[in-house]
Amino acid sequence: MKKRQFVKFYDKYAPRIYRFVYLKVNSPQDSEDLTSEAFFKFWRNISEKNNKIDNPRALLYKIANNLVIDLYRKKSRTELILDPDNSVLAKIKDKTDLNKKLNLDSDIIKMRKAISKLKQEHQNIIIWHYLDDFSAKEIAQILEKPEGSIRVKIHRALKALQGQSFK
Amino acid sequence: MDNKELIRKIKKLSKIQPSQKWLGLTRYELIAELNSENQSFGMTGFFNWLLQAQSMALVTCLLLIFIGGPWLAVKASQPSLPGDLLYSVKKMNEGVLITVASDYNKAKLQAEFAGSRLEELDKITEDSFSQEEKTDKSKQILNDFKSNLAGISQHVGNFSKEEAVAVAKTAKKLKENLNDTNSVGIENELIEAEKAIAEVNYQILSVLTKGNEEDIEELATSTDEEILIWLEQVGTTTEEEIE
Repeated sequence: MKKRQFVKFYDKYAPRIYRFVYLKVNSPQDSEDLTSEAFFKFWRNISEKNNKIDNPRALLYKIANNLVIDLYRKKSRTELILDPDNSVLAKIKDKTDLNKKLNLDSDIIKMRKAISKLKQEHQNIIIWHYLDDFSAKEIAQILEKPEGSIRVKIHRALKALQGQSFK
Repeated sequence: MDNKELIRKIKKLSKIQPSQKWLGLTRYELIAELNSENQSFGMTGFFNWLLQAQSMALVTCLLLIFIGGPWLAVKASQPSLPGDLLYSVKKMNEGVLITVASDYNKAKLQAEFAGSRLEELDKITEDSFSQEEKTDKSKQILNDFKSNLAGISQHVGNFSKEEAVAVAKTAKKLKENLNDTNSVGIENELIEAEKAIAEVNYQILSVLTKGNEEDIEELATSTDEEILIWLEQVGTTTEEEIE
């Protein structure tokens, strides 16, 4: 991957990585720090491997996920600050219709809460498969697990989320 | 809520976006980092390049060309004869080996190369050269043979008695081989070569009798008697021939 390609790659995936990290750590500050760190690590990684990487997107998410795990280790889960002002929601693009925005805010808050109650692996699978459109094969690459078991996990994660959504 | 509705609500999370200001700032920082890496490419970059498979292959090829090539040329030049394309390579290689060797090894190498000259002489006799060519090549070889022997004489003075005896044994073999050589057209060169062997023998005798010139019998007890007798015989015969 050349410098120019990398910058394009950043433009495309930086918002998605930020969103993934934000949904996991619930702190805009930590999300920004981890996202930029993920891109720096990704660049060093591909430079060391002389660009011989099959799936750059999977590698980037894997790095981001490892950084989130490291952050969990540093701070206990309870220490992670939940975004009190919903500053991210304040920046959502659709501001044309206030009612529509309020409904959207409400749905996003509910979904965030529901996802945060799932176990880590289910959270990842929901975000990657349903939000970021990862195939089971790509998730298997990130988690280094067999593709068949990931298919089962996708089904179980959605069922678990459905259970949380109605509470 | 059915699965479709649930997935639709999950998709709404895509509205979560980072601030444009932060995105731009991080982009700028990344580009700055990439540029600084390019500038510090220097030696680290060179070593990284060296470790790549392609560059390894290139380095191997260059090593083969610059080390393997000359080695192959030297090997291929061994059976060459005067007038052959690779004969100069053979002579050059001998020159290099003699230059880097110690005094004793210099004499040993000169004796070894003198032996090679005699082998070349045999080959020329057997090959299908014209008589004129055979004579020319033989003359050249015998001149080189004489130079080799002169090289031995030059260093024998610094030898121990054991080393001198070892060289004397080689000289004896050379003399025997020289006697077997076909002498047609090169009679004078052969006499010159024999004189050169006699000179080597004289030098060897000088080393062996150093300190006990008067008592040759005592010397015989400590030295290979057969060699000593031969050294004396060759000296006498050659002197007679010269007279």
